[in-house]
This record gives sequence, C-alpha cells and structure tokens, in this order.
Amino acid sequence: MTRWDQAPEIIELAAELGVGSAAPVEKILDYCRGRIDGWVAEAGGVTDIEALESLVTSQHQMVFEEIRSDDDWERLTEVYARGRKEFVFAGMRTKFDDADNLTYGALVQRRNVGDGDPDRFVAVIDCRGSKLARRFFTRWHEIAHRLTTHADMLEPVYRSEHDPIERLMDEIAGHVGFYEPLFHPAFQSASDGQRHLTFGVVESFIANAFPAASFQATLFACTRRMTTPVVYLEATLAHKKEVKRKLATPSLFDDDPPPGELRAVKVIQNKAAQSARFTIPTNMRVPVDSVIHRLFDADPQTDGSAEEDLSQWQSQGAQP
Amino acid sequence: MPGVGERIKRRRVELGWTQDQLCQKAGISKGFCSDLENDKRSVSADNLLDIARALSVSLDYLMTGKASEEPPKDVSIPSSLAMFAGEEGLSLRQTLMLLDMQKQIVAHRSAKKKDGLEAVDWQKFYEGVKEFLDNE
Repeated sequence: MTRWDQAPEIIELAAELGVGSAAPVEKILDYCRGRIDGWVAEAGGVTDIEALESLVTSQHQMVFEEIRSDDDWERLTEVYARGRKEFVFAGMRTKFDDADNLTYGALVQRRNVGDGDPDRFVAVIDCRGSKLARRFFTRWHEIAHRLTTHADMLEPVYRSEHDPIERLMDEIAGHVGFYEPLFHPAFQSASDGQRHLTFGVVESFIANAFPAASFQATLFACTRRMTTPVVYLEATLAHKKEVKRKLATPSLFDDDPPPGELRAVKVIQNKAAQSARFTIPTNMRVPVDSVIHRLFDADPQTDGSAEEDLSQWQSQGAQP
Repeated sequence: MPGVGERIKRRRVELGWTQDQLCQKAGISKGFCSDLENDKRSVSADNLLDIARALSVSLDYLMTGKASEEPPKDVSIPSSLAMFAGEEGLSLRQTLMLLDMQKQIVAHRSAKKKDGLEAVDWQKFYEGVKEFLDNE
C-alpha cells in the first residue's frame, strides 16, 4: 500500500486499465511489467536496456527526439513542421524554455500519420545543460505514459510533477526502466555478495549494465530492491518550521535571516525500512557529530566509508 | 489495407486488453469478438458503436481507419486563447489550428502546477508556429 493508492486519479486509471481498484499502484505496475514481459517473450528475450527500450517503443509506435542544443529546435521544425506538416513542433520550444518552470519531456501525438507508422507518438526530451542528467529517466517516464495508454485521451494533460499520475509515471519508470530480468543479475554482480548498499556498488552497476542511467535514478532503483533497510536522505541548510514561518511573514525591519542548520529535506525509505519503522523525520536537524554532517563540513573520511551512530539521531525525544 | 476487425484488434492490443476485457466493456460475446477480429463476421451499427465507445475511438476510425475530418461540433476555446486571438486578429480557423496543435501535446509535465490550456502562453506559442498558420 502506498500513499498514492488513495488518489482518485490513480484509482480511476486502474479501473480504466481493468486491473481493479484494490492496491492500484501495485496492480498498475504489474500490468506494465506484464505487458513488457509478453513482448520480451515474443521477441525471444533482450540483452540490454537499450534493446528493451527499442522493443517497448516500437510496440507503442513511439520515437524520441532529443534536444541537445538550441539548433535541435530548428531541426524539429524542419523535419516535422516543414517536412511532415506537424506544425506543433515549431512551437515546442516554448514549452521547454521557461527557466522558472522546468520541463524535461513532452509527448506529442502526430496527426498526419498512418495507422501503422512507427512514429505516431514523438517524445521530445530536453537534454540541454543540467537536464541531461535526467535523460534516461525522462525517456522511461514518457514510455510509462504510453504503457498506461491514458495519453490517448482526447484532451491534453498538463500536470505538475507533484500530481499523483506523474508520480505514478515516475514509479513505473523506476521499475520498468530498470527491468528486473536485466537488473537482477547486474545488481548481483555489482554488489558481489555485500549485504549493504554502497555508492561503489551503484557506480559499478551503472558502468557495467545501465550506462545511460543517472546516479540518482540508479540509486533509487537499487534502494528499492534492497532487502535490508535503506533510507535515502537529502540534507541542506534549512530552518525550523517556526523560523520558516517567521521569515515568510513580511517585516518592517530588514533583519538578516538567521543561518540555517543542516536538515533532512528529503527522506525516502525502502520497503524493508518501512517494515522496520526506520525513518528520519523530514526537516530533522542532522546531528553535528554525524558522518553526514562531517561530510558536509568537508571532513574527509579516511577510507571513504564510515559507520553512522544512530543514537545521535534524536527527534523530540525519539530515535529514528 | 486493414479491415474493421484488424483495427479493433490493434486498438485492443494497444490498450493491453484481452478479448475478455473488451467483451465485458462492449457487452459482446467472446466468440463474436474473436470472429469479428478475424473479419469472419459482419457487425451491426449498434454493436460497432458499443465497441468504438469501449475502445475510445470514433466510429469513423473503426470503419475507415481514418480519424473523422469533420471539425468537432462543440469546440471549447480557452478564454486565454480567445482573448489572444482577438488581440492578434486571428481568424477562427487560425485560432482552432492553434488550439489543435496544443492538443497534440498529450502529456506534458512541468515543475509547477499549471491550469491546463488556460495557462498556455499563446503569444509565445503563436510566435513559434506563426509562419505555418499564415501559409495554410
């Protein structure tokens, strides 16, 4: 059961897909995995993630167009707008060039296309600058839209990344983009029998099996599959809630804001951690003597690894 | 050229449905569905309409393989587009073309919540596609 299981949009999507309404997230994931398993079996197997992507996109009559420099917008206009009378491509840039509202990918349904043409859907992926890091995941996110077919709706969908359906697409991308039959042997090989996940394992896994995947996407995929409790934590300088509220209130005086403390701003547990009730409350202050804080203070660890003393992690009298 | 049965099957497979699922949604029997997909039986207009509804495609599409070229009877033009079109002096045809292009973008995610077609920056979008609107 996930928090998204209660979202009406996800329950509705599960009903549309005919997978029932109980535990819809897991059911939709199973549905997507099942479809891919079927295609892979028909194809006699796949050897790597690129072959899988190619197989899945061909099933969905879908191609990718990557934008790596500004010149690529002109190429899209030339190929699709001038060449194929798909004028929307001449205006696609406006969807991606808003620095205040980052967009990584968009899926376009072509109008002037034959029934069986392989490019009925074109996913435009922005790979410029820092967006390149999310290339792999964005491609699988757009595939997730096609896998769940709700992108066939008559009305377009503009959603924020916090929308339940978009989060579900991320969830699907995280599973099918790291397809289990390819993931499992590569992960076994990279972890070499180690019980704990390390950054070294993740790096080795990427280098040997999923070279196009970003470190973070791979880290999440590995975390998800670990049978031992793992908590992903992102920390940055931040304030206590009451200080945040104070700072948000307009003031007559131009006082300098107090310095922030290192706090946990994003915390994700894997299933084993959830079962063990191992968590760190969001916005909890990172203990000054903790490994994470020392790392933040650029105190180098002698051999690149260290053990965290969890007894230091106390929040309102409770330990994580 | 694929027939009605082939188009039904293709769409069903695209949706990831089994024949059973289609039969249940369209209210037809499995034997009939199987025969239909293999072009072994003809189909009544009523049944075809039920199938088209279940598959979320138009009757036109199932019968001809092409989407209907008639403009939709009720097109709702977002007020932001109507206002922009008025200021820019766009014809109804150009306005509908702009709207249709936006609707081709079937999935688009951005960091902030947007209010659908109302929140589209029509001016910017128009600048991008202008040469094609004017030439059509």
